[in-house]
Amino acid sequence: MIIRYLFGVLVIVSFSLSGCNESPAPQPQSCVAGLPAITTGANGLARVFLPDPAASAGILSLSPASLKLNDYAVSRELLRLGGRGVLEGRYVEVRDGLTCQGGFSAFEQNNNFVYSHSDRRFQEAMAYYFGDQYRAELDAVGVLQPVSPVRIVVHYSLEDNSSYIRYSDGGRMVDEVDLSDSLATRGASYADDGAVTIHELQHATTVNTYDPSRNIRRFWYDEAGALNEAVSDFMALMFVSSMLPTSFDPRTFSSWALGKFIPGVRGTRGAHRCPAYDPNFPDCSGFPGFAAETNTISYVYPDGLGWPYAAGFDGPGYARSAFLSFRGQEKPHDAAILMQGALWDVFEALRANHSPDEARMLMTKVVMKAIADLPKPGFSLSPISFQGFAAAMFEVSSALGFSADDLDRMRAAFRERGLLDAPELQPGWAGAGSVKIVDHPSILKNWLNRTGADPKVIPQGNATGLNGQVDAGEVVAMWFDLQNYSDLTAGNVYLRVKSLNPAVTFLDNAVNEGFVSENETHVVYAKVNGTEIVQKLSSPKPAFDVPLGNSYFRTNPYFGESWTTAVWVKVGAAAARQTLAFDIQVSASNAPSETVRFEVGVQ
Amino acid sequence: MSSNRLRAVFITTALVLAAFASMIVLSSKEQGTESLARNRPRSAATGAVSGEATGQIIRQAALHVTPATEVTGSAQERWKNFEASFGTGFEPQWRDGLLASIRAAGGKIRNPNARAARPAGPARNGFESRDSEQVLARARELLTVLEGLVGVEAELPLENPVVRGGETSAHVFFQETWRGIPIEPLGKVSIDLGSDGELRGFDSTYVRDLLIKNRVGFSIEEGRLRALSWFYRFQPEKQAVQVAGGKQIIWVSGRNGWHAYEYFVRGHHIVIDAMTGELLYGRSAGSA
Repeated sequence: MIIRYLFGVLVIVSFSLSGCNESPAPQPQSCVAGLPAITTGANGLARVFLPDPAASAGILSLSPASLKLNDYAVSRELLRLGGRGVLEGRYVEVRDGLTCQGGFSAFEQNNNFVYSHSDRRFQEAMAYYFGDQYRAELDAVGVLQPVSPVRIVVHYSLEDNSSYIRYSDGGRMVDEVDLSDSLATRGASYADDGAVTIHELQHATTVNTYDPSRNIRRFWYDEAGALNEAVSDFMALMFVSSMLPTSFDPRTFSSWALGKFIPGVRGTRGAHRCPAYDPNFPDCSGFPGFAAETNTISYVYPDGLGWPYAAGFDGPGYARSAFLSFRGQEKPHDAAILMQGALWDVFEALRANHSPDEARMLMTKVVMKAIADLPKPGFSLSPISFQGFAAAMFEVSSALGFSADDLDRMRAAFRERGLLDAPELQPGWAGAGSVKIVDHPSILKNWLNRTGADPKVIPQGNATGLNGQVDAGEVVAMWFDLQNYSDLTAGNVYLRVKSLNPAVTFLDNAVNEGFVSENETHVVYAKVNGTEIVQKLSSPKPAFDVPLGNSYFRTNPYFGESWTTAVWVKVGAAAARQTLAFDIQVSASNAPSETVRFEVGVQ
Repeated sequence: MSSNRLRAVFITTALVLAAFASMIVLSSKEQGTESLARNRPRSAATGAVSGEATGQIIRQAALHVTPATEVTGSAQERWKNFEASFGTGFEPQWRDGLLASIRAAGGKIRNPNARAARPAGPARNGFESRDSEQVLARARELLTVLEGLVGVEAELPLENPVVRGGETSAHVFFQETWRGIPIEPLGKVSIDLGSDGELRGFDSTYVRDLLIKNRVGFSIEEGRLRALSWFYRFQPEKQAVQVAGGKQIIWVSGRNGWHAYEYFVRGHHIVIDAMTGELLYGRSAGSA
């Protein structure tokens, strides 16, 4: 295998050398070797979409396959360029992934980066425009992070994705936004959607504002990860809102790339108060209610967490269909929808007393300062919650001297979303239910392979690994069906799991995200339903009944389809025929801490 | 007596004497030391590490880091000292007997009893949260009082402070290191201050009693290929892959630490053992 990999590396190196121009004087439509000398000024020109082809054209139904896309681009001035004839400037530098292996591609001695849409350098110039404009505004507000330019790699790869990553390279921190070309719709690029570029750039701002070295997200499904996505969506919505024609809904995020690139899949997200399959969408007149027979779902904390946003479910019981078929309930992008909507509500509330530009600046400042003030990992490895963030925003706004009316409006907006002044669960809310075990060696090894961890840690074969029970000597994945006896739903549920049997230990942090020691690990469940939402969404009509329950397993029926909320347990031979006990200290963003005991028999 | 018996008696006597001597040494080290109530027993220092070849993997005895910071006084006394200097109304949170977090009591963001910083000098009228020097000085003042509760050891210092000042708050981040090498992913201490220098939050993932389990066996450049091979194990379909990053760290899990190299390959965070090349951690690291 290693020979194959080495061969792969050689191929990459040779491809890299042959694909890039090595001459000192860069040529148009090739890759730039090294960094040219400064020969020109800081201003240039480009053609861009504002913020995407459909909005630029004012045509909601415009297709990425349209041959007229180039007609809808408009000219814009590029600012703060470094003067070397490439797209590097004070706030961003834009490179090409697929053609130039992350090197500069576009080179114009006179900074005239004007290209047709069919030229792959079009996306480079457009990414520079949006990146520079957005980060210049952050700087003007006094919240720019990171201070050094962010690297944007367009045409990063051929896949339907875009991402942000931060890493240390030779002692220097690199913040990199990667914008790919669509695999599903060839010729379409995520860099054609300015909202996507800003979303990813905001990740750089959020992560660096929170902590200079640690990521904000610590668990697969903690509210910190969802908050990171919510802030990115919201800041992008707010920034591009002034560019949209009045016929476009400013609360819809990335209707171009997420809405159109993958046929049959509507991946859009938004800041509305209800999902698109609620019959009252987009006005959401049923907010803040929930009802099965009217398909009323509301993005209010905590019951509104995780409901999918886009339409596409089967009727007449759309809410039932969404619950039964949607597998992403706990994922950050979906859990984020509630919070980005709340932020939009606050933005609109501030616009009552301020111009749109003023309100945007105020929101930018408050959101970033509140992120800086969020608690860091200590006793809890993930101490961030939506409610804590809303409280931090209110606190910052007060410290910055917001008017009493602005503060009242902000409080009211957060209160309506269940994020401030909300009722809390009372002591005695948590109880122990069953434990789910996965011990199938093939499934476990496959999961470890997919996470990047080493599958060699699974010792068992099929002899004991097919019974779905704990056998001595096995490594198993384990979930706890936490019961919630309260009428209220618990959000951001944090489990400190302690093994009381010395023969039963937890795998280390290569596998368990919340590993603390051999006998303690932590995990986060996004929410556990209370009894009230179970009753609200039940119906005597089978076509409408949403079969929820007030326990974790019946909050997310797909919890066991992946490893993301499992704890990985090693069961020693000495545990044979014993009953294992796990004491779990459970807390939630809206509930007091409790300890419950789960027990599991060993074969 | 045969020579074999003589040798056995000699070895036995030597072992008994060595054990007796070590008991005296350990006993004298423990005198005058009052451990925190739930502290783990501190380890004795060991000298040079001797390697033992087992196949391709060189296994080493664990190197215990010398705990040079002596803990004196009870945790409660230290906490009272903290309250006397920085105000009452805080809630400490402990993990394994060590201070992990401090928050305002009752889940509040601000503690109204938190004491403001005193003026830093005669020329200053008061604390300025935008002034990096003042912010760092205030953070160090806090840390001096708290490090006994955190369990800071001389060989695992908190270094490389990053200061973020602002008009309404300020934040200071410290990095735990071992011989200058950063501890990851734990080993962080952060202090949040209000605009008057009052404490708003303290959080620690400090690791003490660290056991270093290996040594460096190859260069960071050699590690790139190994990181790439790990990446291809779980992403074999990817092409034109580049290895970014490259940082030497001590990777910690529990109280065990490994010399390690950290890389990023196509959005994946990969940490490999710097002696064996084995994968210590691999995960998708990007925000999509």
